Amino acid sequence: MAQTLYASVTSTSGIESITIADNHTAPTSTATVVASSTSLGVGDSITIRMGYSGQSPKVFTGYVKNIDSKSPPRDRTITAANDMVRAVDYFIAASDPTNPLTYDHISAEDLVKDLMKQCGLTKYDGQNSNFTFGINNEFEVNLTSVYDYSKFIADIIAYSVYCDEGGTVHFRYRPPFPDVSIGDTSLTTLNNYNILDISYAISDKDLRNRIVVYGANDIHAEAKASSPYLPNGFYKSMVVAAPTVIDTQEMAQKSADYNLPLVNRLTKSCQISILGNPQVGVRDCVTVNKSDLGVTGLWYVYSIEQSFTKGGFTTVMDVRQ
Amino acid sequence: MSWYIDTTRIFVQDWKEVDNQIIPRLQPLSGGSVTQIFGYESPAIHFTALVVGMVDKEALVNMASDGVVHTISGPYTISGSYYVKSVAPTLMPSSMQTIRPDLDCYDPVYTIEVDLLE
Repeated sequence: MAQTLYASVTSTSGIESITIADNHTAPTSTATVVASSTSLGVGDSITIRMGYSGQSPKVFTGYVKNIDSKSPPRDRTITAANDMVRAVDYFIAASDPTNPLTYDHISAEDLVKDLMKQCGLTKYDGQNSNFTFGINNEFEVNLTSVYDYSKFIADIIAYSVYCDEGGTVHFRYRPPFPDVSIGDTSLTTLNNYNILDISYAISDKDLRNRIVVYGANDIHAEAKASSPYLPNGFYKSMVVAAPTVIDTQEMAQKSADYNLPLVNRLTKSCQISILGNPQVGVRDCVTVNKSDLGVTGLWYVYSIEQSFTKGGFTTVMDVRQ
Repeated sequence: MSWYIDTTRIFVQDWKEVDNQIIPRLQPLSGGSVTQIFGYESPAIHFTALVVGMVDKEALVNMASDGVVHTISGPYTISGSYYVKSVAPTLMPSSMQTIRPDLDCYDPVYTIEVDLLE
């Protein structure tokens, strides 16, 4: 059964290849398009649809960051990043260093929302965090990019901040593994009929069973638990240092308690290549049926690369459980 | 009807056209191959012809380096504009030629292989 491939890129013709990469921790997703002709310029908006004739959803929206032209052969390589690149590029630097941007009594989601608005990202979906910063003292936000500071806030409370393919910034609890309590369901099933190759690994390299949080003044908190994968009484530690924003004991303990279950686990990961599926994206969940490898059940798409070339349309993923 | 590339007279001996569709073939772990249709290549033409005289031979050789399209015309409604990708002339052993009565009978005769692309 032959499927006709289809792709379209804003103001671009003679497409030779498209590669779109994204992962759970990357600030932005990136797209690389090689084509014979384009009228795009640096800073222009770009939209990419990719897939099959009759099934080519929008897989990328963003801005052109770089264009390479070469000869021979005469083609153009367009590099683009999604809307979050605005937050990466926007560096907060107060014109008057004695009067920087300050906040107090602000929830984590409202803080990130306001920072994103500074760089023009107004489509925002923030989940209620029950976390308030600057209760006793106001705090400054200066000499940092909007993304870096938003990521710092997200890491304190074990949240994720990312931009979807429609340009909406999300700030929410999104662990790097499937969690049915937050509504994770399978988008599609991967099996021998669509898997091109697969490998599976288990590691304790990212396991941390002790979280230490340092806040303002003498505020500190700790959360720890024994791990069945480590010697009894042995703790691998992770530190959350947030003296500028955590100024109550309650917030410090919450941060420790929120982060511990996120990292006190083995890293089970699968590298899977499948027939190109434009519907799958990072942060989706998929079902994998490879019982001969011990790989079954619901898995979280941690990273993804959609590759559209003369060699075919394939989707390469790192999934985790 | 005679064969010409632009205004250069040639005597085509054989003519081959290659049309190619780009079809990647992927192999899942089970089941048959999956084919994906990426697109198609424009036709590529290869022909062998006789050319008489240094002037006409050089005219064809220069077409392989000028970067412009040339018009080919011939019988069987064959016509079109192509880039000349390659030209390979071979001097034939001959004492006299009668193919082109309008040229000197002692002019050299070449077998020339030409590749054309749209």
